[in-house]
Amino acid sequence: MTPLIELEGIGQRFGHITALSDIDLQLHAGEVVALLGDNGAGKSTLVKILSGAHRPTSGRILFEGRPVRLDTPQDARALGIETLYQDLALIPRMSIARNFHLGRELTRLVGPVRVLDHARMSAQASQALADIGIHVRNTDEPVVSLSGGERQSIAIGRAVHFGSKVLILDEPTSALSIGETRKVLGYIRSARENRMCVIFITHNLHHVFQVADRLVVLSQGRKVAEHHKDEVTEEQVADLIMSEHQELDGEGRHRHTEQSRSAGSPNKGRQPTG
Amino acid sequence: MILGTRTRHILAREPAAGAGVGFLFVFAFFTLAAPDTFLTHASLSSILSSQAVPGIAAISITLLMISGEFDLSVGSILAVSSLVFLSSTVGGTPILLAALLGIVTGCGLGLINGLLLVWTRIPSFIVTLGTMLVFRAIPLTAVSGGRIVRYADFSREDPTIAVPGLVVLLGVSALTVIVLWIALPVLRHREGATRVSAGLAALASLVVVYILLRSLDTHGLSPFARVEFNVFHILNGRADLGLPGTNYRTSIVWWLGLTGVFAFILLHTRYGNAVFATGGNSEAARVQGIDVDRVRIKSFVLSGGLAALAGIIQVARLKSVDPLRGQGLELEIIASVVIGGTLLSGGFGSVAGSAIGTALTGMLRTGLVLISVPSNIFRGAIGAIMIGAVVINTYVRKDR
Repeated sequence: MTPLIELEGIGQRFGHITALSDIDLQLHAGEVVALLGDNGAGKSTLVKILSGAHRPTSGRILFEGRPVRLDTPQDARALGIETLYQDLALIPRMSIARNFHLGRELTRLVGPVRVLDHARMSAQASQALADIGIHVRNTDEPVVSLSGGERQSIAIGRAVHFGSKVLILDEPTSALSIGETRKVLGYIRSARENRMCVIFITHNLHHVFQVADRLVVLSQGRKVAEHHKDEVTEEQVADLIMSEHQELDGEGRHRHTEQSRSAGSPNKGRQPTG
Repeated sequence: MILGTRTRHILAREPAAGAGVGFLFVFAFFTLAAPDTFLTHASLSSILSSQAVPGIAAISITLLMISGEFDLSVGSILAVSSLVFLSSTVGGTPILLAALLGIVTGCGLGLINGLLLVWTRIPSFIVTLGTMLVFRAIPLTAVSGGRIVRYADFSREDPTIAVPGLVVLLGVSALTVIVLWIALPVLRHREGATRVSAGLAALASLVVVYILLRSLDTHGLSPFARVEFNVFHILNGRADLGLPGTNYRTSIVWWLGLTGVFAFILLHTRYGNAVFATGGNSEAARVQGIDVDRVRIKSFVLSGGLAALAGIIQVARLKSVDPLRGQGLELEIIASVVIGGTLLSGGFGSVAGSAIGTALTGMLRTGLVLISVPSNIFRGAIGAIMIGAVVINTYVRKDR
């Protein structure tokens, strides 16, 4: 079976800092892959490459067997790849409905001009959120007035609603209660049943063993292990993540700190001034 | 907490709310402090007429500030465009073409700002501080030695355009229908500010219709006769409302109309949504599929065009351009926009708020004179009010 996504020799450098090197990875429809590794291992960088937020400096990406370029987030979205970013990618002062449809607003013709269809966007946002068990009081409320968990739920809801083939979740449960976390793990399972590919980043190995089919461990920007869930135990995986770290002492640790700086939040865009 | 949560919530959601309250305070103050002079057509008309040009330029600053950018070059762009407009008119270019040239110049200078910003990644404060000086050099060299370009030196008559009456009627009807078509559904919308601006747009269009029909009327309303319009009068002429000693000008209609149009663009188009998103969190906007650089460039171009239009409307009243035209305007406008509730850091604000802020600034300028405060204090008062406005807005929006 052709993998849904195939990464061949993907590498990412920021200046003279290597954040990822030589990543080969195959991802299939209908599976949940957990991406594991210590802070700065390159997980978020890899996610940003898959979602079009970063352009890899080497390697190629095949989607459904065809080579593709994911140069912009729009390219990734067009292929049905949807991402929940670690920082949620919400605009604080915009309403829930506007955030939900950001970049793909619904419009209608009023007279000769194309205007935003607020009513339909609100209805669709609250319906989509309700479908996955998130109930918001009012979709016109700005995101800034919500709690951390509510914000995370909105961002997850958005990704789940729009993702059609690939769902990338970068630490989706970090701000959630136990009940909410259980729900999110539920969405991941139902996405798998709908033949989607879910890439799941977390530090919580317990969650990994609940939903993931495969585990991929990154360290220092390289893929160091790849196992089916049944092949390893939670302790072994924890050791894998940690031991890789200790083996590369001295020079390795130096490289590691550089990576965490670059891979943490490589902000290519400008900050607003003033 | 002094205010109730609900009140604070409304104030936090609606950028113009604080400015509106401040406006009413200042208005009430001058009404009481100068009872015989302030609340008269003479002073109100002079306030509104003098604020129309800064008010239009304030729309351009608001647009950029919401997108997270600054434009210090707005006064210089206004000067260059005014000069292009006036000198091509007196050089024999048909008046509408000259106006178009002026606006294209403004858009072009805005494009330079936008491209510099996107290519160099230098903060727009620095980029436009630079272009403010560079653009200013154009009128300073073109109009040398303290000279002033005066329309009267070239022609005794104001420029006119002659249009068949039928075309005027059709054009006006089409314009009204379009404005009302858009404005009426919006009037029923939930967001208060939107409703206000849609109402203003509808009102402005009706006033334009009225003015045009009246000038048609004086020509006998024959659909085939060519009607002559005084272009300066349409842009910024004294409106004859039968009130002697007043100075209501047509520029007020342009100001309100453009405020309505841009309020609509910001709140009801994809571009407007992208402007708020880019200013609110540009990285989030980018990963959600918004081409933030394109939004920035587009905003600078629009902003330059608006500055040019403000300049052209000003020329229509002053009938001259001096090389220092618009100097110092940018800071006063930024103050008005901030008073109007737009966040300096981007992502939040409204053009309706800026209109209120600009009106408040003008009211202060005139009102201080009326209560015999030395006019030199005006700028100090504006500064104090701006700081007060920001402090209040920050308190009200303590919602993080």
